[in-house]
Amino acid sequence: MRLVRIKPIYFRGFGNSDWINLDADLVVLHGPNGFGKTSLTEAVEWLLYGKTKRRERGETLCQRDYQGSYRNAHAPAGSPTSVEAMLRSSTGVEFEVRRDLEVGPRNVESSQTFVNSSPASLTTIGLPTDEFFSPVIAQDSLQEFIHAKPKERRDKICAALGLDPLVRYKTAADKARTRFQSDPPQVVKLANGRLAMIVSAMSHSPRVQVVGARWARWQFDLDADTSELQRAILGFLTMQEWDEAVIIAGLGHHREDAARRVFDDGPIRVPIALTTELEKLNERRQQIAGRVASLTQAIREFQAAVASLYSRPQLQFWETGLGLVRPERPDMCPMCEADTLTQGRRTELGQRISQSANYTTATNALAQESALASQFIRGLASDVRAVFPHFLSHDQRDAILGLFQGNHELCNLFLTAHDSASVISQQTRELLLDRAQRVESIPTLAANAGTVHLATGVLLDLQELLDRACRDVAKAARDYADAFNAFRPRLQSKISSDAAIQEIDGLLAPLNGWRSVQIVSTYAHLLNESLDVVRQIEEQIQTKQAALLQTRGQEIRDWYDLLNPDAPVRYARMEPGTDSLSLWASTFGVEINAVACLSQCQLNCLGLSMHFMRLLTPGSPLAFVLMDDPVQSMDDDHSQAFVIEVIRQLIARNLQVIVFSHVQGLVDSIWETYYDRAPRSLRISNYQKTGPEIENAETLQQAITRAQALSGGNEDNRRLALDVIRRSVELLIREVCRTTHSTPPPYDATARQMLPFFGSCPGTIPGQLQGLRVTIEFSDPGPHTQVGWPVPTQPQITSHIDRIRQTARELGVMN
Amino acid sequence: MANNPLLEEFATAHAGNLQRRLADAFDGLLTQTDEAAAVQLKTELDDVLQERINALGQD
Repeated sequence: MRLVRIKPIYFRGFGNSDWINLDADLVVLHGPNGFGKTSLTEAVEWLLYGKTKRRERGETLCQRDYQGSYRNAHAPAGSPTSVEAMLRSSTGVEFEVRRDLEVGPRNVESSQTFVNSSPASLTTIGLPTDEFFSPVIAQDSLQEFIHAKPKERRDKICAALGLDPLVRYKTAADKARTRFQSDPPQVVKLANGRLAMIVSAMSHSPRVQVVGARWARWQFDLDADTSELQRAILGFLTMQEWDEAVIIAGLGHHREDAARRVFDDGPIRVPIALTTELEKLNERRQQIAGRVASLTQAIREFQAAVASLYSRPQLQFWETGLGLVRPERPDMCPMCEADTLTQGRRTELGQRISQSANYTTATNALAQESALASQFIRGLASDVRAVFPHFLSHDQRDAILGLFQGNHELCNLFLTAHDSASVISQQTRELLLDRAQRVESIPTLAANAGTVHLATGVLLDLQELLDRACRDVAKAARDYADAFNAFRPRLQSKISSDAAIQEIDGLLAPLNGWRSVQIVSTYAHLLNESLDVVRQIEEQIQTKQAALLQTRGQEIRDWYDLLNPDAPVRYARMEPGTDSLSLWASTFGVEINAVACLSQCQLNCLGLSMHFMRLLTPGSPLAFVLMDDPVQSMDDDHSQAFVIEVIRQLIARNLQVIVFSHVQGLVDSIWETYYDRAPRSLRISNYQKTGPEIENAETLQQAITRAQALSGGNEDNRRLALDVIRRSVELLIREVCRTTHSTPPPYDATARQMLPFFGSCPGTIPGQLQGLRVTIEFSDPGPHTQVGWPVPTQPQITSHIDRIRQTARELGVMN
Repeated sequence: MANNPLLEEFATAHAGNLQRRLADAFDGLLTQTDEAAAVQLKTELDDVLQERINALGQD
């Protein structure tokens, strides 16, 4: 894209300006300081990027100073602030682009771009948003790249080299990895907590503590670690073959043995099925209630049978007598042989015999029920035993007190609960067994008329006693379970602190927590892999960068050498590092840091070289460069090299070159050097409240006309007319050289030095050469300052103007 | 398959699974900010880890 014309409206120093035509391969603009050159430079920059480097830099120091500074201070209220331009693509397509300043609430500034009058991003016509390719070389940005932070410098160069996606990839991958490291998934956090315990356990086991120490440092090689662990554990168990289930069981047995040697807590463990046992106890109590009811009923029936009881000999007598009754005389008693055995009497005797059979049944039933009830009560006593552990022996009690040295609160609480449970268990069982014996004695008591009342007395409070005993037992069993469960971890800890057990625990820990080890190992490996990825991206960036910098670095060297021919100090190279880029120069064969050691002039040359390299990056869509006072701090030799060599190279590379300067000599020399390329020459003739007044620089015709006008004025005007006449001769000679394709005079040649070039142009004649020599002598500025020098009159001046005009017409360079 | 030639070149040069996964993921994030892309890549790392942990269970 080339810049065809531009129109800033109320932007910076501009008012409601007209179009400024820049449509030429080379444009020079001269203007004194403070006349708006930088405003025009910034207008181009703002149009393309919506910001200027100057303001961006300033706002980092004080935002308020720069608030509202894009808008012209004299802009009428309600007027727009915008910059409009015409750009032309390499294929000749022209685009009208515009950026409008928008000021929102609290004076927040933004902007809106338009392409061909429609709101659109400038990227839609291929313009880059990356300022790296900026075609604007402002006064204060000449050394911007040089004095950037090494990382910014590297990022910018990577963008220019087209490596931006890789650089961004590396940045994102690095950030992602950092987060992955600082905030791992929950599963890893849990596994890592477990791993810490595993490693701690392994540290007590000499056979595996080396592996554990590696894991503590997150050094995992699970295949090798597995082999090492297996060898260690097989060695401990003196086994040959690895069968994990067998190994874990074997270690478990070893641990139990070792634990028993320290203290065997088996006898005091809470029964595994305590709840079931308590339910069974209750169930048994309810069954006994049924049995007591049956036993009570049996006693009642027995007592009824006893009440109607006759002696056994009598019953046998009656039974035998009734058997001897003769059928033909049923009423005759066999004993008294009289008819006293009436039908009624026989029936009564039969009933007595029948009642004797009930007694037997009642006796048997009572014996059976009392035995059953007794059996259930003994069963209940057995159930009571089942809800309690095997209590501590004296030796065990001493052992446990020895472990805790008798001063641990939880130990004391446990022992209190233990003793209480032991007493309740013992007393309850003794009570139940006593009651069982008494129930068993019921038939004997019932058979004896003197003790029959005691038989029912046994049962009177039996149920109530059983209920209370069961409640007490259940409560004692639960209290014991609570106390033991609270105490057990402390007890286990005491047991586990034994060296032999700790060694086994150290062997068991990695087997039991293997999944946690695997998870942390997987995470650690992925973390390392992701670090490798970041490193690989960086390596790829550096490899590509080094190759590209070789090429682009040579471009910078070439530009620098053009500006500094045969200089003892040269730009050497760009050195890429990780997230940095260093610039090196060389002086008499020794490398020095360019940023720190080069002079201002050399740094400016280097800055320009960097800009040119960037601008000429392949694929950059911008095909113009705008330089605002580019030869600051440069001496004449460097300025000359800039004019003669650099601008020529830029134009040769198809760049539109636009140069602003307050140095008339520089502008003139550019114009004169490239006169044959028809450069566009502009000048800022005035600066008013309404903005800079920009006009085309004089053509030969304009110069002649101006000289003619000045000749009619006062002495000052006539003195100035002589300068314009001399410049007109220079313009005439350059125009003749250009139209005859002759060698042009050097850019800094004086009018007198130009005469031989004129004489060598085809078509010129000696008379014309002689005439111009006279005119040059006439306009020679040398005598002007001499005291008494007479200022020429109008007729004297006009004759020379006529000569120039006539010569120009004769040679066809003016109508 | 990454669309950006630089990312594709990187993933191809380093034939690891993780390089391919991350390059492909970032290829779809080129229009996002570095910050947003970093968040997405972290999620990708989480996913890769979970897959590897799941694979442990199948051993």
